[in-house]
Amino acid sequence: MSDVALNKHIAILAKKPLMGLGIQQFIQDLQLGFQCVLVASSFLSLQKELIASDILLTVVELNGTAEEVHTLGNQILSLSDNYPDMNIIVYAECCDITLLSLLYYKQKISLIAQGDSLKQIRQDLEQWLMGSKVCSASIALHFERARTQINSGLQVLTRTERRILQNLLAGLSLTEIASLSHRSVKTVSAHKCNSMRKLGVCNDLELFHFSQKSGLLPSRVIKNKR
Amino acid sequence: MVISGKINQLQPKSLSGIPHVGEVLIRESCVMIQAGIRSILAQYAFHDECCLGVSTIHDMPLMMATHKVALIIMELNGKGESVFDSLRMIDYLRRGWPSIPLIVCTALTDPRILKQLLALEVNNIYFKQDLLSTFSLHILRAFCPSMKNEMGISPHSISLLRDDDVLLVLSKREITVLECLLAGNSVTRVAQLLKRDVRTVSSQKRSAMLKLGLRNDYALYSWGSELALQGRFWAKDSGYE
Repeated sequence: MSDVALNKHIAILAKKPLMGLGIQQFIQDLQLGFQCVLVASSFLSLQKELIASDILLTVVELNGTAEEVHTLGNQILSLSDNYPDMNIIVYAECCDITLLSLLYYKQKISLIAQGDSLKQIRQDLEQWLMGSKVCSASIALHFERARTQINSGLQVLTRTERRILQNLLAGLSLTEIASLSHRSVKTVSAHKCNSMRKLGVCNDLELFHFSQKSGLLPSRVIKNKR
Repeated sequence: MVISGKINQLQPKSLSGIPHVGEVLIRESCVMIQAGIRSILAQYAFHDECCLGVSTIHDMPLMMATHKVALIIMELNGKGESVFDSLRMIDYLRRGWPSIPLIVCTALTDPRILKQLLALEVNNIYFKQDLLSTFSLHILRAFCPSMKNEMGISPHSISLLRDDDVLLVLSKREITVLECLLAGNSVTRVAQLLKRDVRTVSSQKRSAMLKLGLRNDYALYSWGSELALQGRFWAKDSGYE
């Protein structure tokens, strides 16, 4: 904490020069004593400059086409891995929930949305500069909505269907589940088909993805069984 | 064209002697970019209090009417507003206030839209990927009478244009028809919506396509989806609302 308080140098990664200048100005206008010492327009140049510096705060602008966002997202993740002490805030325009949640999963990555109001952004940014992890309200709402959607999907499954799904995700085959639960393979298969229809997925791949997202992970199943 | 050679000679100071001429209307929905524009304007003696920021197009006419605006800076895409809304607004501004300089400052790099802007006689077009010095030059150009007639387009965007292109402005009706079509309506449905004959709508569609250099429906719709992709995150149903 004392380290962060001492080191008030900030790096900015923004593709558009106006954006870079804007963030710089914005942070200066907050008058908290923070200083933008590095404005990079590409990830590579940011990485190069960071090596020789003692910067522990980075602001990254995240937008562009779907591919660009994806690439940059992964680069941010690797940056966070390379500099475990670095506090990163992503100024995101995109609302790709999978990518955002991946980013937010990291301890040191914060998120703010470009669509937010001036007041909201200022408040979030101030909090972040003070050293706390921030997730802008609109993105949080987005997360929440995605979560409730998934949960409500699980509610409609019957107990048997849920159990079979969990077994499937734990790596058992339909035949194994059938012999475990003393039912015919056909019965088990029918349960699986019903639950897939209810969840609105059309193949095993989607089913697996969906269950992963909804937190129906194999580890939990095994724990329950013991 | 003109830009590259002059950048180094033109320093911000050359404008600071100019008397206070009025306010700057900025239409930009991103807070940070607005801060960036303001900080550049501050170098030209337009301080924070004479910058009027609006986030939606529809606030612009009111601002124009109630303030003494000396310069307009606008982005084409906005939250829940399409580039067509912007084209319409630019047309309106050009008619109502032809003497007020207008700088289009956009992230959208579509040659057809660029041509429409040129056809509307917008001479100052800044692409957000361009250098900041280019932007400063745009501001200078807006206020120097001697430079007013020069084309202020960045080298990047000139590469998007071809010499043999004819510039024709889309009419209001053609824009409306295009918008309805790209929203997923058929020509018949558009005719019903606009209360016009199918043939009227069809010919408006054809003339719009001709002006934009779109040869067939495939070209029209793939252009439309490209445009939607570039403005995707500003769309009405983007999820943040």
